[in-house]
Amino acid sequence: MTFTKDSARAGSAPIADQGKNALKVLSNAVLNCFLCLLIVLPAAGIVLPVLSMLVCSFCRFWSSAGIKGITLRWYEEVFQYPMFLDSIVLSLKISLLSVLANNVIGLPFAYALIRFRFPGKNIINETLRLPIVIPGLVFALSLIISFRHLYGSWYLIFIASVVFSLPFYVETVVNALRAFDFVVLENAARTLGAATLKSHWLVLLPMLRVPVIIASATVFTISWSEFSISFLLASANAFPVSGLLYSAYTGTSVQFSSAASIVYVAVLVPFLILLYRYSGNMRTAAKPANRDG
Amino acid sequence: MKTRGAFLIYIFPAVLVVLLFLLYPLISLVFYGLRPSAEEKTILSFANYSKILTNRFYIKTIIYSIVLSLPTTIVAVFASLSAGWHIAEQRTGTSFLRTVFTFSYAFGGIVYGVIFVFLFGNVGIVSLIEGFLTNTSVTAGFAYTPLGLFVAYLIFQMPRSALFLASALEKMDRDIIPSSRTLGANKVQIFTLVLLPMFRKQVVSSIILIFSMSMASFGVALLIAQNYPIFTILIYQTFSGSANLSLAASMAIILFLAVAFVNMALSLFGGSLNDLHER
Repeated sequence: MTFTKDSARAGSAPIADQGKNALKVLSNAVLNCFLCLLIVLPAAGIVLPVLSMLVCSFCRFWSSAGIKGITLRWYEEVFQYPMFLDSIVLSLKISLLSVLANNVIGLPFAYALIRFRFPGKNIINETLRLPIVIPGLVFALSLIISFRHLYGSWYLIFIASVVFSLPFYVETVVNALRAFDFVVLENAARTLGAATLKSHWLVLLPMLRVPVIIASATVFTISWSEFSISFLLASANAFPVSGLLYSAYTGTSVQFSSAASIVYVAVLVPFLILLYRYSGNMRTAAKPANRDG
Repeated sequence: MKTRGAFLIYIFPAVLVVLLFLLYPLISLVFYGLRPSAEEKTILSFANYSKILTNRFYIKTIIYSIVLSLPTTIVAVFASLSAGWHIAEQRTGTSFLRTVFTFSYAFGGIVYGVIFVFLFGNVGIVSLIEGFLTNTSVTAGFAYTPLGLFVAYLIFQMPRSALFLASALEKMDRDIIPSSRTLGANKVQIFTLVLLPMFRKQVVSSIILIFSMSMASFGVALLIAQNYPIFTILIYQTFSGSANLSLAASMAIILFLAVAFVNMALSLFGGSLNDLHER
């Protein structure tokens, strides 16, 4: 009796297991599909519209009636649009100067944050990082109120862009400085007779080349694409490119705005490639130090 | 030959810039909002604040902004855990995803608005596909509906949140996952019993950050929010349309306080903005 019971159980168990397994495989597959979809959708939400923007900027007609014709007309119009070139030049100027200012202001500060102990360090650092949480609109209004006479010139947009990107610059460099054990190297350089400036120049700066490139590219990207601050600070004399895009979107044809956006994005591409190429480098460089720490 | 004051040389430019161009303007913004009108004899006046806080329309707009930003942020952060994990684990397509998401980060709010119009606008990809397949036009103009605004915010938040989560997850010890799998946990169990408790801080910090960004965001709403009241747009209109700088200043302070209040409430669940920045 026990023998048959056992054999019956032994015979039926694999079938039940198979059913269970099939269910498990199926539910796993559904879950995996869902998770994949969550990865693919946000990427598609960016890639598809940008591609269609690119197509649209070359289209003669783009409406619910249909899409027809190839033309370069929109790009010609974009470059003939009043103030377009001025805006591009202005935004380039502001962004590049912001990169320069960030390197002058942020690099020594980031170094001091790691190298020295000084009173009020945390307070200064937290204040510097306020722009991350303060809405751009709030910051822009505060600048307008305190520097009324500068409102309308590009100086104010430049100042805003520097202050707004500084925390991101400092953070990138600070993270890099934490990953290298630069104090040992610096002390070695000093023991070997290098003065402070010389050791900065020959030891510290070469080590920081990649982080500085990444931080600079980040600053350029931030100040080029920042919208709410520059839109509020924009005036007839100083009209940054993001403000111009807004007036294109609301006042011109779809094709024209697509062409303008493509030009706007095209300026960013080299910096993003730079960011992409070097950010991998920095991660691999930072990893061994992380493991030790 | 180190002098004790050497650090001053290094921090001086930054401190100067922060004091002059960040702290001074913000303090003057606070006082500007409190400035009394010509008739009032007091030094400080709360007239602007009482005007905003007793006006139903202003209150409604603040609440509507939070109702738009908070749920979309929470959904976006949880939904982007998958992509963040994928990037942190460096699986196939990581570099592609990272590039695309960084790109999205580089589009200011305004380009995002246009991107969304290209997806769900009157002649968007979705409505073109729909017209091609079924010859109808149900989805045309979806971008301009309130539901469209919610979806737009989701699309705008997800890549950012995925990148933040990825950089937070990268720094963590993820070897616990294979171990719990060996011990017999299934995927749902791993997620609810292992991952969520482990990543709670990172998830909450990302929610705080993305929520702050969404509340501050301006470009997306400016292009597509047609009947939905949004506080940043109201501030902009007060500033540029009615040129009431003093009222706009008080509104800006209230926006900041509202964001800070929600963030404080969120941080009760663990996590703060600092967790995302510190190694």
